[in-house]
Amino acid sequence: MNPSLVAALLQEYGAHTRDILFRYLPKEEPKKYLYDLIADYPKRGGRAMRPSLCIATAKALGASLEDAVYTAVSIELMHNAMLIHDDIEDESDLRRGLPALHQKEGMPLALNAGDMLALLSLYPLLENQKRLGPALALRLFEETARMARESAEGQALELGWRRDNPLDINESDYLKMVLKKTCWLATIHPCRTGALIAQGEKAPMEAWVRFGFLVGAAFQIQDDRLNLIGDTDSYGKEQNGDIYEGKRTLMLIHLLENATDEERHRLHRLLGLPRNERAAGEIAWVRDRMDYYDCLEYARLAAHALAGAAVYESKQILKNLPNSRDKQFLEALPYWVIDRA
Amino acid sequence: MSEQERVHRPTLDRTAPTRNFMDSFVKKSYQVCEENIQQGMQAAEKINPTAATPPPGAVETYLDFWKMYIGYLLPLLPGVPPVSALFPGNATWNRGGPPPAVSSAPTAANAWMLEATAACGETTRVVLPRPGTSEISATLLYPIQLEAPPVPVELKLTPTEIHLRFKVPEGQKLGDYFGPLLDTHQKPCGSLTLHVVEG
Repeated sequence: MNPSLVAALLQEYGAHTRDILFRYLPKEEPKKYLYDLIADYPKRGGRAMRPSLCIATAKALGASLEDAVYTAVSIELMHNAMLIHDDIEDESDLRRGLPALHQKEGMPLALNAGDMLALLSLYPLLENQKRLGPALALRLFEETARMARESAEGQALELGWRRDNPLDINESDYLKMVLKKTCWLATIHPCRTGALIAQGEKAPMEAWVRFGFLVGAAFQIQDDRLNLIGDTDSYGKEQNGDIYEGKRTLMLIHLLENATDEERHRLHRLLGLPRNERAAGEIAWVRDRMDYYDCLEYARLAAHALAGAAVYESKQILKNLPNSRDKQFLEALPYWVIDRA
Repeated sequence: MSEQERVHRPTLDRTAPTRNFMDSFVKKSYQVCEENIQQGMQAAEKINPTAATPPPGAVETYLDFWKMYIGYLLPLLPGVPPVSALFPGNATWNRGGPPPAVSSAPTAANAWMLEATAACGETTRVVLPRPGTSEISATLLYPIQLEAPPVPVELKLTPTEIHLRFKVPEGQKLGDYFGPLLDTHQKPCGSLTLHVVEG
């Protein structure tokens, strides 16, 4: 496997996507209160994994970059819209190494900018009508609606758990939440739309759900690990931010399952507090208990297991395709998601 | 606190061995995924109940195909009139037979019905006169009342002839094999019957 190929294609397809994406961002008034804000997150860069996955899937299956790029732009716009809302909902401080939009501009304007970006994400899909025909364009709209619905359901699960503070969330609950909250937008939807663009209704849509879920869940678990061990400068978010936010990560679930009654009681009390009342000393204690119970190693093994299953699924889907950079990209992606720092 | 300074529990004695854990985690993941796929299919059916039904024209196409299929099988039964009597206008011919007068745009009512004989364990080439200019194709012939793998067929067209090539493997069960002829839209426009005989 060639991790540098993944990085190279992410850069190449990310550049193509951004090139067109910025054409969809209005440059008129009110700039100060809206249009400058919606351009903020896209200008900060990012890995462009989602649009690249859409383009690579479509190309691996025989479509052209031009066929897929408008759907890829739509995906990236929707991703940025959701980031703004997620940062508000999670009370995050940083995004891509800079203050989160609501921290810079205030919550009402940030919320409105997120709404606008979500709306703008539909415009590139209209372009598909000319290039791919009305039937396929409508099908891609349906897929986008499905993705948005799954994502909102997943986010609702996570936010609901944080509000109600249940202690009995298990691995399967976590996987269901990640499938919806992360995987549908991050990996399943890009793969499925790419496959639809190339193959139409002949595309094996269920197989792409499996591959997308496995690689996406491995990605999320590694992301959660990086939140605890990653360098803030390269990771772009505050270290231990997920503990401050009370996110039900695999590490926290493992800790709750293994902690003593006394520790579990202390954890429950801490997770029930509003974010700004969670003291740094208590966060350090949670982090220390995670080390004691090998929660990070447990999550690392889980991510590796999922990545292995994703490699298997990719081979099943791609086995009859001619070799190409895009096919190699899809095969190497599971390795990349667990190796990134 | 640095990574070296952190206190680690000495052994993983509360957890199952690594491999068992990974197997179990992957299994749970697949279960979650399959549930989501099922939910998606149910949701799609609620939103668009017509999606599960064939597109317009498909029912007629399949009925036509089966009409032809039955048209072939019925004559095998004693006392049943020939195909040409069941579906007037049908043309059947086989190797060495006279070219039939068939329409260049066959329909279910006057479909192409080709028939040939090939020996087991041999490659047999059959050339038939080509009626009209319609494009047809065929790939596999399926056994009729036999437990056997399908027989591949190569079909090539010249301006005036149909070239068929059957490569019947050694050990292929003797009997009749049948497959649809497809037009340029991949719709059935006739049938091809192969009698596999001893080599």
